[in-house]
Amino acid sequence: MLKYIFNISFCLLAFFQVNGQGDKYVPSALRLSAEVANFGYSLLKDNYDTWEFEADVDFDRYFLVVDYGYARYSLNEPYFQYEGEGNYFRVGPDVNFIKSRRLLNFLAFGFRYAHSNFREDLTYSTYNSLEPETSWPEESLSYSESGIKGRWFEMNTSLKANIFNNFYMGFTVRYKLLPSSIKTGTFSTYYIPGFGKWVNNSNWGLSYYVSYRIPFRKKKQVNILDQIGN
Amino acid sequence: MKKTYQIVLFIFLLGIWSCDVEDCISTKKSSMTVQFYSAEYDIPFPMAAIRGWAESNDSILFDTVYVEGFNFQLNPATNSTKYFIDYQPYEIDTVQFDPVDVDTTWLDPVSRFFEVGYDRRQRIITPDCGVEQSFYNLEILDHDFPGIIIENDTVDRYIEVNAKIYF
Repeated sequence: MLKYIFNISFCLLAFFQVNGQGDKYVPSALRLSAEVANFGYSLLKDNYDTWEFEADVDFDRYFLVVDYGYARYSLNEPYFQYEGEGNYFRVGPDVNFIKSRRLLNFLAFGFRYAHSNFREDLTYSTYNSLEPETSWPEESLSYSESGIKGRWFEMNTSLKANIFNNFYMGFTVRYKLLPSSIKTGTFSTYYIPGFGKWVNNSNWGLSYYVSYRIPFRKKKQVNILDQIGN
Repeated sequence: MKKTYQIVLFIFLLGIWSCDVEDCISTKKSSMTVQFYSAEYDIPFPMAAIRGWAESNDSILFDTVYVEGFNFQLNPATNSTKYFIDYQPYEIDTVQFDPVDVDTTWLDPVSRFFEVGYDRRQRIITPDCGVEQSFYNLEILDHDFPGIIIENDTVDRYIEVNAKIYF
């Protein structure tokens, strides 16, 4: 997957160079981010583990963003035990609405295509899935599914502010939309890493990132007074 | 700039507000509803059942009853259940429709069986509500009754009859 992203990036780079756009669309920095809100929450909870990293590269006001993460969610209830675990990635563009490049702050709207590959295990007692007058004895049944694939789309709004030097902090609000149901064998998917609990085909999410920007090219400074004048 | 922040805050609050409240409502049940029919007249007809039981289950489902239908509990751990029914068949001598009155001749008791196959699917409703198991794709695998028809192949509280057994 990363190979395709790099290929697309280089093709875009070549396209803008050939079309005489100057160096306006040539990337100037790579920003690496670590998600801290959900990661911090997972440290407090025994049944939840997650981590996520994000990388974005700029093409003037446009950004190509790639996320990669892992999540595990488990439930240990009186009549059933559940565990869902897997990796996910998101890829898509962002458009920055802050024109001033002085602090390189970031208020963006974007779209993502997301994909998750995960497994689920369910062990449950038939006790609470049967009618009270049943004559069948209580039994414990176990099911396991691996290699489950989930795909969804996201609309994102992100805000990242420059704290000092090349360090940034900010959040992303996500509206996630699962276009179709996930095909599984014996039981309905409950948790999709990166998407969350699958109660409906849509979900909301919030990520908080700490970022470091690695500049590899000096971007042309825009006079802030010119910006105000415009 | 202030307006943009307000829009972001509005989207965030809208997301929190629209979070769905989960409930424990389930329309699934774990028994198939069978209606008994007269093989001769093709009308709903009560069966003089002596005994009914399921394979791999020590419990008696029903015992010496006169029933027009019954809810057969499906085995939650397998994809098929075999039921046995001992009943006393009878021949209808005369039927008077107004008022309804039926004269019958009782015959010797018989023992018959039917085996139903199905698919099962589990769903976690919520951590508090637990796991719901649904039964679907009901089909008759084998039987020695004069006839059995599957009317609805999904087991659901809103479905009145899953199968008709002609005897």
